[in-house]
Amino acid sequence: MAILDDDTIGELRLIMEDDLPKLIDSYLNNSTKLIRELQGMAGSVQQDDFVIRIHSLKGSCRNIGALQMGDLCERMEKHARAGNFSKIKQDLEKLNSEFDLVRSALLAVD
Amino acid sequence: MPSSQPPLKILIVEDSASDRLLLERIVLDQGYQTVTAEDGREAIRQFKHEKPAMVLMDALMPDIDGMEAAREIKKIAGENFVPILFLTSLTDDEALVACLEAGGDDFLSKPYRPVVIAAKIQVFRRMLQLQRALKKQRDEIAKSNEHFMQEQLVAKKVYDNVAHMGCLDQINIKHMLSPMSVFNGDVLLAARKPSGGLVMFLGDFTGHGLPAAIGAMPLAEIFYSMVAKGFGTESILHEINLKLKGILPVGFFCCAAMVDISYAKRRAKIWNGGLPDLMMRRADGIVERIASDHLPLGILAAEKFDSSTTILDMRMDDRLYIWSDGIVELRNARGEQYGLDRLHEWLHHDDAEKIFEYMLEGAKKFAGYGNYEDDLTLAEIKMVEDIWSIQDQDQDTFSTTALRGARDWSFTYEMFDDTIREFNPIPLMLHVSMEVPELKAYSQDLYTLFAELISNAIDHGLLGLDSRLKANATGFKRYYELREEGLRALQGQCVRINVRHHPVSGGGTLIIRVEDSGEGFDYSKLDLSFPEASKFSGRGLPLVRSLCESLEFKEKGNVVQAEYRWISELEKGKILAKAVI
Repeated sequence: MAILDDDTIGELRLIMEDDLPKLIDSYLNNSTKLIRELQGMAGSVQQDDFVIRIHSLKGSCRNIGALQMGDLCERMEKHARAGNFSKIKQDLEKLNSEFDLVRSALLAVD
Repeated sequence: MPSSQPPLKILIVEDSASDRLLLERIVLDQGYQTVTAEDGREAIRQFKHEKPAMVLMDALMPDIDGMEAAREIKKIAGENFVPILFLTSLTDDEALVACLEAGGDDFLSKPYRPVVIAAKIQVFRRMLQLQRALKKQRDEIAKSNEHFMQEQLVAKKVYDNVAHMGCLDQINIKHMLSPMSVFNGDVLLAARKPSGGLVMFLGDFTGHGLPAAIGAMPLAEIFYSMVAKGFGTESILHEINLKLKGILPVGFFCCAAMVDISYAKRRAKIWNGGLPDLMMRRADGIVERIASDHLPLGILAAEKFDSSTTILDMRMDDRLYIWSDGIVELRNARGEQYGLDRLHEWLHHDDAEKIFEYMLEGAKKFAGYGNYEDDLTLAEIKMVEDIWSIQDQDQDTFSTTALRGARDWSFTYEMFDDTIREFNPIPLMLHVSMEVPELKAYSQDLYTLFAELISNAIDHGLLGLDSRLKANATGFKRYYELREEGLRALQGQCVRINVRHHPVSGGGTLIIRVEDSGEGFDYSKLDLSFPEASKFSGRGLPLVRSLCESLEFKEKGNVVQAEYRWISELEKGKILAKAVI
């Protein structure tokens, strides 16, 4: 699976036209903020807040075409709902590196 | 958007900025107007403020989440339909059910598909239009229904004023008229005759409600005015038939019966056109039936209409029962009819005083209380002593319509052969006389005066009949045969009636002078004292004498003059007051 889904990007280009960079910018800012918050609360268990954020991140990843990262979020959401926070710690690191790849890919979109 | 209406306003509630931006762009591209909110709290505020027609809302949000916000928004919207589409990538059934329970109407899943979003919004836009149209129609129906009920109530008042109960409250009448709807297909009327009797009319119009009630109005109008003017049963029936024939559409008619009771003669004249058999329960327990032998009113043309009546002698405490088919056709829960047999059975009950109540109670019990479908009309008339001497005069029916009126006048009316043969002049005489407003209260006296004086002039003055013939039943019959013959043979004869009224203090005087072209008679030895009450003959003139201030025969005996005094209600009160002091 590609880091970024070309079809989705194509569709977004049609929808957003010249505003596509604005959408990408908004996604990157929002996601950076969410990931930071998620990392912050991984130590102290705040299940509901964690679920809401990872759920939100999952949705926006899929909308922007970051399907692989979206799937990772879904897995983390399931673990969070199940209260399985030991698995989440490992995944958080994966999420970080995945997001780096997505960001690079998105910034390459012109 | 393919519409000239202002674009639909859609509220987008999404906590992720990029998703919000994307969705807003998709919705704007469809031609809708957008408002956005980042969380549930802001969504509620925006909803109140912007009044959007539709909401697209993320289910999971920090603070107040989508479901809670949805519940609140639905509450604020009240009976207005505001579709809420949840934006969600929730997959488990429980979460989706929770969204629906919170008032969500549909879902949009991520990633967003513009085509799907456009289609779903379009679906709900159509539902909104439909709902608005329905609501508008509902409101219009409710409004017009309210208007209709208002009109019915006003119409009912008018109807009740016209088709009023007359003298149904007399002590010898029992009656039941079910208030099935605002209007009733049945009409039950009763009026006092100027001659002292009572006329009851029961009509059952085809159908119910307004169409039936409309026919009842002219009917009641004719009935009350003609009875008050002294017209006979036959004339009244003719007039009603003619009127109904004229106004009712083909296929609509009025099954009816008319009962004309004379207390003095202890007699009932009955006409039945299409109603169930009238039943007579004699004081001694014997039961007789008077079947319908005519077509209902409003069917036959005037020349074919038959108003002939059945005449029944009645003794004291004989009871006459009359009902429409509503009570007969009353059904119970099993669909069985109450039926004539059950009704007739009551007539044989030992306690005659309770028959009416038993019939009615029996019917209600049979149907299960409160379940009558049709108009349920039932009446009983009992033969009693002259009711008007027992009860106060029916001041409502005979109330004076105006205090002013013709008070000082005279008229002369001449009848020649044909008119003497064919025409009853009494209603005309009464009609003119009652232009003196207060005189209406004395219509019974006036009727007697005119009837006796005019028949005296014809029977004795012109035809030379001997009233002693009427002493027994055969003679009675013979008398009327001779009368018929005499009337047929009339030639060049005349009866002249002169009536003069002038006011005197506290009342008035009415002078009736009747002159016939006959030979007259020797009135010097005339005895005007009452004969024995049981005899049928010779009561006329003593009765007139007893009512009048004076009664005089003049010239060769072919002229008779009666002077009748009346006093006003006001004056009566003064006299009474003096007597008390």
